[in-house]
Amino acid sequence: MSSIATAALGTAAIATGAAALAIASHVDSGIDSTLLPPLLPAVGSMLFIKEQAVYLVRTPEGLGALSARCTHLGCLVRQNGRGFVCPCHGARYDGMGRVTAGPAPRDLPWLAVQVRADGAIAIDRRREVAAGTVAPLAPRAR
Amino acid sequence: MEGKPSGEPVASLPPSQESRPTFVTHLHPALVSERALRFSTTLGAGIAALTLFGVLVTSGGLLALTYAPASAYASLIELEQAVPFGRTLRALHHWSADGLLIVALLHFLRIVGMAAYARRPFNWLVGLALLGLLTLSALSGYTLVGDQRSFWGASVVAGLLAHLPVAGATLVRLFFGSGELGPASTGRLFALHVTLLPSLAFGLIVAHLWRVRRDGGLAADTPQAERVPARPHLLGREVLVALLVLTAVVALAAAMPAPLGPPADAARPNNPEKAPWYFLALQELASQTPSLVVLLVLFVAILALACLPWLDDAGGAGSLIPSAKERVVLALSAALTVGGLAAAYGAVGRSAAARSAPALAVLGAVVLALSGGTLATGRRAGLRAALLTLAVAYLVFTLVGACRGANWTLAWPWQEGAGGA
Repeated sequence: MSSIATAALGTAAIATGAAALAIASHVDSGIDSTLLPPLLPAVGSMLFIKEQAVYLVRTPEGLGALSARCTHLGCLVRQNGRGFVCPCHGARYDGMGRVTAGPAPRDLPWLAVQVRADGAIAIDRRREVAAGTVAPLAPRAR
Repeated sequence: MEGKPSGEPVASLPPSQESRPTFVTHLHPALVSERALRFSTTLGAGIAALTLFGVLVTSGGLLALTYAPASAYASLIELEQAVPFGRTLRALHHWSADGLLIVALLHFLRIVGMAAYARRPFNWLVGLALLGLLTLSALSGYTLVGDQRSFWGASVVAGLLAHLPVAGATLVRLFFGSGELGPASTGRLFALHVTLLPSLAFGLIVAHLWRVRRDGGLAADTPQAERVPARPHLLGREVLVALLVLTAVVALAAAMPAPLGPPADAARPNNPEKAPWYFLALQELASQTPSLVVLLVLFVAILALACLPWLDDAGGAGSLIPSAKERVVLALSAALTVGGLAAAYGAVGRSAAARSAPALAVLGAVVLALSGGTLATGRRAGLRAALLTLAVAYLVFTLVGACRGANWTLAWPWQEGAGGA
């Protein structure tokens, strides 16, 4: 349970929007899944989840999680155009996390995402999945 | 005590023959050569470094009274805003550290330039160890500030150290703890910075000075006739250099506060996130070289420097001024390095596959300088040319590193978003 973090959408999130998206280290009860759609990134865009250091990627098929941790020396990459750039040594990745330039030895890993029945999003930081893997969104949230 | 009969009045001796030698006067020989007195011989580096070390220990001891590793940044803000002279004290510590790095580097270049390592291999090794301790002190020091540079600097160093074969993971756990970077790791680095590193440095400084004295002091070969009493001639100059250095660093601290960036944000490094000036070259090297190769380069460089007295076959010390033939070799080496690096950076700009080209260009230049210099004028000249190549590469990497702007693109340092050095 501790390795699974849940995106908990409380009342604060309604007031301040996506920036207030809170991540709890436990499975949060009382999640109002009806809040999910306005806080999700739009299809084709992504949202940085600060506490998890991941980019939540929304595709037409669902939600994926791309680690923001640079595979070179562990800084956090930033969005730059359609891809990412590391501000510490200039490693560059495309929007899928593939290395395009600079010193990074590996692509950015994609992490397992689970969209629960109640609409809560769980990201497992320890479980790497194939690039581009997304979890389908629950019908209600879509 | 010079076999003096007890009870003889001290006042009867001339002042320069003071009969109660203290530890400090024991460090001086009775007579010194006039050459050793000249500023151009020593750069005053020994006394300047000792003075700065004293300032660092004193200001550091006072800073430690208010510093709190668990809330580093907040304790520095309080120090600077609420404690009288707190800002000046931190500035004094910061600029003394920068000053000591510069003085140590100049001293290092002088010793290499004069091939003074050749006759005093033991003190060369002690000096190298001191340079290493100084680097580690500077590194651990800037991780204690609690700003962005501290956090991401520590993060990158831990990341690099983790690449070290066999011992990497253990060393990271030892120095940074097993959790995420934060108060616990800062506590470890603080302990390292204020206990082990300075006490080791103190021991090696004593050994370094003792060894200079044992080896006959500076310019040991001078005939007796060209010598003058150390007191007042040497002592007077030493006091002068110490006072000048002290004045300079106090004036600097009063005029310029130590840099303090925005507080550490574990979710968002600055763009760009730059190392302090003395690590810019290493950061630039790391930005285009696999991490294992960076560690290998450091290892080989340290090993080669440590072996320098035994690689050099010319025996005694040389002159800082190279011969005409040697000057050609050195000029060619420097030009080759700059040209090679310019071409390599051009290649990197055109193709992502060429990203290790600058590091390879330096390697090529070192090999060419070493072999070319050795063939042209002997092995010492070859070594000097290779060392000059490394020094020029360090300088070029530092300059390029200083010009890295937002998203790691090249920009002039004064342009917006380039980030401070």
